[in-house]
Amino acid sequence: MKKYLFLFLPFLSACNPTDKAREPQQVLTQTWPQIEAAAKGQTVSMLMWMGDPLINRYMSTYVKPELQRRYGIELEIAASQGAQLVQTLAAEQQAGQPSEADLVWINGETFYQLRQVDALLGPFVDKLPNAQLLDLQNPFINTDFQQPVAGMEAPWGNVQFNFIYDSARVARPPRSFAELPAFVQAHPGQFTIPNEFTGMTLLKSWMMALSGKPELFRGKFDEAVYRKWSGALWRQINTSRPYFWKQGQTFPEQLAPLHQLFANGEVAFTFSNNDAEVDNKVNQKVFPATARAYVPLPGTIQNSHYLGVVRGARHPEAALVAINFLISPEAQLRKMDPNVWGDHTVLNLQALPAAQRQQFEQLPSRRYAPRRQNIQGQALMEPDPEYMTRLFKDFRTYVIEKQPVPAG
Amino acid sequence: MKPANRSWLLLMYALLVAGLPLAGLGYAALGSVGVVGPLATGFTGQHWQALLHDTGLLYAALYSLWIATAVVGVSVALALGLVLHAQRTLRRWPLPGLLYVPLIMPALVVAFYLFQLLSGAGWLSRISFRLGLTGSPEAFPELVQDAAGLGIILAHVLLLFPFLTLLLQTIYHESRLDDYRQLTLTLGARPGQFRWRVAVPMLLRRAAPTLLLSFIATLGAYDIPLLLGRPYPQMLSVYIATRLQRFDLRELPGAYLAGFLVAVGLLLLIALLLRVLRVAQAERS
Repeated sequence: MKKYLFLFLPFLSACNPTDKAREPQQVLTQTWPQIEAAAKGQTVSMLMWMGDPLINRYMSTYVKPELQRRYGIELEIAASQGAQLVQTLAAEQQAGQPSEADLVWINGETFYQLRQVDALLGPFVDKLPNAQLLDLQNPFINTDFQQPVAGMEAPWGNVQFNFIYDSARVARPPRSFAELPAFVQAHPGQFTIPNEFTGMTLLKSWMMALSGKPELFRGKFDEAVYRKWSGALWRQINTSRPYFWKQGQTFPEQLAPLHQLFANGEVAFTFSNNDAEVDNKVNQKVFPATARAYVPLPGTIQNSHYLGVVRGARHPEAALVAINFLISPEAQLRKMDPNVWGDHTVLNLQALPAAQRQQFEQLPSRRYAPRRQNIQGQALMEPDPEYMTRLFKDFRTYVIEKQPVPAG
Repeated sequence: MKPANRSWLLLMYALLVAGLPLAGLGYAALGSVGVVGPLATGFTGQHWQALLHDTGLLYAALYSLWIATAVVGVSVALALGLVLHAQRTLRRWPLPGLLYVPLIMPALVVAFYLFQLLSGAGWLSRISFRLGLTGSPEAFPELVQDAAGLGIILAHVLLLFPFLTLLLQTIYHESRLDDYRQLTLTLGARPGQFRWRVAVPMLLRRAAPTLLLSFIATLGAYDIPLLLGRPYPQMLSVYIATRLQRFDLRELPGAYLAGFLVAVGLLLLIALLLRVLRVAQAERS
């Protein structure tokens, strides 16, 4: 029998009684020095989107060694996001197990759903010494898809949706959503919508532009507002669809294939949720040097992404110390460099010492992306997560599957 | 091995091979009626009722059946053609070696390679444009992400037909079909009669279980249809995975239901085909 015992080892090790999750209060009543002391030598498991090599490189070649060097914390990163992440954490909770994850990269509907299943530890942001540097007065940072962050997640980066086009092929791109249908009709096969998160952000911005009143989308989900303006959106898209890439018979399921179509010159437009992504893609020679980014009028969605601590985390102290480092001026400065990641900072630069503020202001400037100060006036607030989930479902129904759009 | 140890091994085997999939099936069934899952609200039949109005699963099933039938059909035709018409070539280097090359390639790599080769901005399209055969790269015919699933079929055939060729070639030798060929020709049969009345039935009969497994594997394929297929209609595994990964957790019971129905459908299909094979075998013997 002994020789088969190894088969059960994974289960036995998962049940190690010394490795159990503690109640949030037990963690959060500690002082910061106590948290730092407890974090030393721990391993922190982080779940995040790993779809961009530059982001992965920032995490593995800068964050990981710095956490080890400064705090003796070992960072382990795995890929998980969205509904998959929520399901994993919810299943662990239902099983009454401590979580395999300590730290998660989240925003929007994932934050909303994790709060619904009570999978986040907090409020914790006030515990972080670097939290005093965060720009928490900024509504694009203190509110996540119309939901106040309330200390349950720490802002990590701030981005704005933008169009990327090839200036060698398109001399004058459509400057507004109103100009877009006529432009698409005049340039067949050059435009498409990715059927994923970035594409849904495009649809949200387009729907808000059609309404002419982005403020209609503030607050809780409004069925009447959604039905009226999503209906207008589907009708406009379906009218333009024959002029989309592949006559609108198919849509890229991921953003990466659309980037590839753009890089190959098959389409003239791609999109990004990060307003500085065009620079890092040109720098990597993924996009042609003629690629440019802009924000069409009246504006696009600006939002922030966040870091949360898992309620059943085995190493919550290490997660808190890691987050405090990730929102530190050093880590934020490095992340904001377009050659590194290009993620706009969530820090209030006025709260920084003059020398540090100057470092942020002297970062290599964006060469192909619009300056942040030039597009801030065209930033729209993220609406309630329900708009996103409904758009995703209805884009499939009324555009991809071509079912008739109900009369609005 | 002692009887006790053998029982333990059998138990572990049963747990792994039958227990885990059946537990997954049970979980999917419970999830589809709202009993388990992240936002489980208690027993409800609404997701089963909603399925009646959702044509997506039916289209996915029909599309998958078309792809699997085309893939297995084309692969079998190619493999039979090689084994019956190119015995000499099949025995000489380099063909036997070349047949192993696709077998070592992961499905995703094959799909990606075909995407690079056959897409509108792919190599063939560019070459065709440079040679003046097409007016623009976009004018190249749609061979991937096309309505009929040609790209998906081609990728699967590339992976499956070499395997079937090697399998049929082995059966050909083990069944001593060369000797039968000589015999039938000596008795006055034409080569075509030998092929259609002796070789093809014998090869297909012995390869039937593998062909059935290939059909089921193609029905459940994920990587290739994900990269080379369209968002609509989708093959079953992509359809279910898409629903499981949607932003809205309220979609989960519907995805569990789709997964449950597909698994039950495949189990019934396997049971039915095994029964047909058994009956055919009994009649022959």
